[in-house]
Amino acid sequence: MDDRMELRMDRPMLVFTDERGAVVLIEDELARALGFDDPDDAVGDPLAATLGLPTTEAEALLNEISTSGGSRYRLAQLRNQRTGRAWWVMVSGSAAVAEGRFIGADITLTPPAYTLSADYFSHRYNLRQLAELVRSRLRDGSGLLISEEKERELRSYFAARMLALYVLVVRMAGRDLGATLEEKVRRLNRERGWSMDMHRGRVTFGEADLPPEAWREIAQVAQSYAFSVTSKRIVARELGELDVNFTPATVQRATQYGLRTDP
Amino acid sequence: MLSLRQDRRSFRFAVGAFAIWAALSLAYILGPFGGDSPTWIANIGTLLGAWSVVVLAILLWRSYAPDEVGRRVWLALFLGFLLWALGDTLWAFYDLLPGGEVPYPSPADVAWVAGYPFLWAALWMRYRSMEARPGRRQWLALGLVVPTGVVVFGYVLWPILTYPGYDRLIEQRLDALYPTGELILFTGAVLVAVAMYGGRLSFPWRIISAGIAVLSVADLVFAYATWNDLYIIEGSPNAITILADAPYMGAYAAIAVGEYVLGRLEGAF
Repeated sequence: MDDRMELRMDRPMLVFTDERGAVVLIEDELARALGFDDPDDAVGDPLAATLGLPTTEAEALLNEISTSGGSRYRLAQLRNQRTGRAWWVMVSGSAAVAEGRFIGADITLTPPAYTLSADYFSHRYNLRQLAELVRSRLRDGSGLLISEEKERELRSYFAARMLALYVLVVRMAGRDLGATLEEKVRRLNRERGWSMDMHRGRVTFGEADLPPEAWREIAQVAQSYAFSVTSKRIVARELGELDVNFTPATVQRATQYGLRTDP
Repeated sequence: MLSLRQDRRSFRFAVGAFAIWAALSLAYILGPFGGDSPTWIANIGTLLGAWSVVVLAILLWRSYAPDEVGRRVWLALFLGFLLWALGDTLWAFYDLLPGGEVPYPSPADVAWVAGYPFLWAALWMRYRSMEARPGRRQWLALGLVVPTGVVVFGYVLWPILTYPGYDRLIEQRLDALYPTGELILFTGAVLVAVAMYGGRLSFPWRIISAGIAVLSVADLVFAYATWNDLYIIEGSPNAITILADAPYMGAYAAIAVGEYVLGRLEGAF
């Protein structure tokens, strides 16, 4: 497939980094266009290496985001690390903050012809994008046959929440502890015989349905771990910002099912 | 440093702490007021640092909800640092008494020794709560700590433990306890910082680790200097006395900076 066409035809795409500029999360399509067979291979790499940007350019972008809270549009040439093919995009970014302190950059890559709204510069908007990313992955991937729209939305909510917790833990406490979070979730699933997995923050569901208590227990384990590594205040704020991207009915339903508990 | 530049208040706090430490150290070395002024300056600097660390620990402790791990961690750190600050205050009291001599052991030693278990427990709780899996970085950190421990054992502990001339057993025990306690603390602080490597919280813990490491070195120099009757209690300090006292003040300043940056990051201040 032509990588350039793939990007041009699509929507703006996101890359999340930690405070040092190492990739924490990247959209699957973008990672593939950049030459990664497995999008997870890009996680942990410096932004410059992942996007094929000159180091000085990537550093200038990250520096602007960290010091001013966001960056202006700038034209940048991305490069597929395997084929060397290059294409132009507009790059912009906003700072992810915890209690007012910079913890990472949310970077948006847009085809030059695409018009970006001001929303793209806010972390909250990027969380919405993250929620959308999860929704689309659940719709398109893993061969799920979910007839109920409500249940699908609930799954999206759950997966977005888990991903947001993972990204927060990685940004605040490093990738090793992000891996510990996943290991805790996987261990719980193994012990209970539930068919769910978590890798690089991404939740995948097996064919067998999860019982209601599974969602609740997994969500609580992940949240408790994030509390103990950071603090309730920081986690509550991050998840609160994620909640606004779902309908009040979904949030209410998630609360009823125990997927969402107030700290 | 990237993390300090990103938060102006943290940066200002760090610059202020460094400036105060540098000014006091300079005044301590030069002794501009003559006589016993270096002794006064060293004690004032130490108490300023020690009590700043205590106040910041209280603020951090109170910033967490009652059922949070962070609250238990910072309660233990607060109690440990409080006991150390009391120890420093009692030491200063004896030290500044005209013509007085600091007894050994003294009530200050009781406070210092009592502080260790709280500080060890705090770092243990912090490390355990993260459930960090032993990885390459942890082993690398231990690979640096173990040789340090061997050196401390060979050059400080072993001579103390095998010295036959101690009049009282308690003195020997204390001489051995201080470097051991510091080494355990240093190991704990390094493990916490390493476990969070790459994350935003790693930076303040690295500063705290560095402060504890400097404190350990200052204590070791002090132990060596007193062992060899080189430490000057009154009058102008000699080189080895400066090497023990100036880093001691600096260590508290570093720990205070680490606490402040952590508090800013956690939204406590």
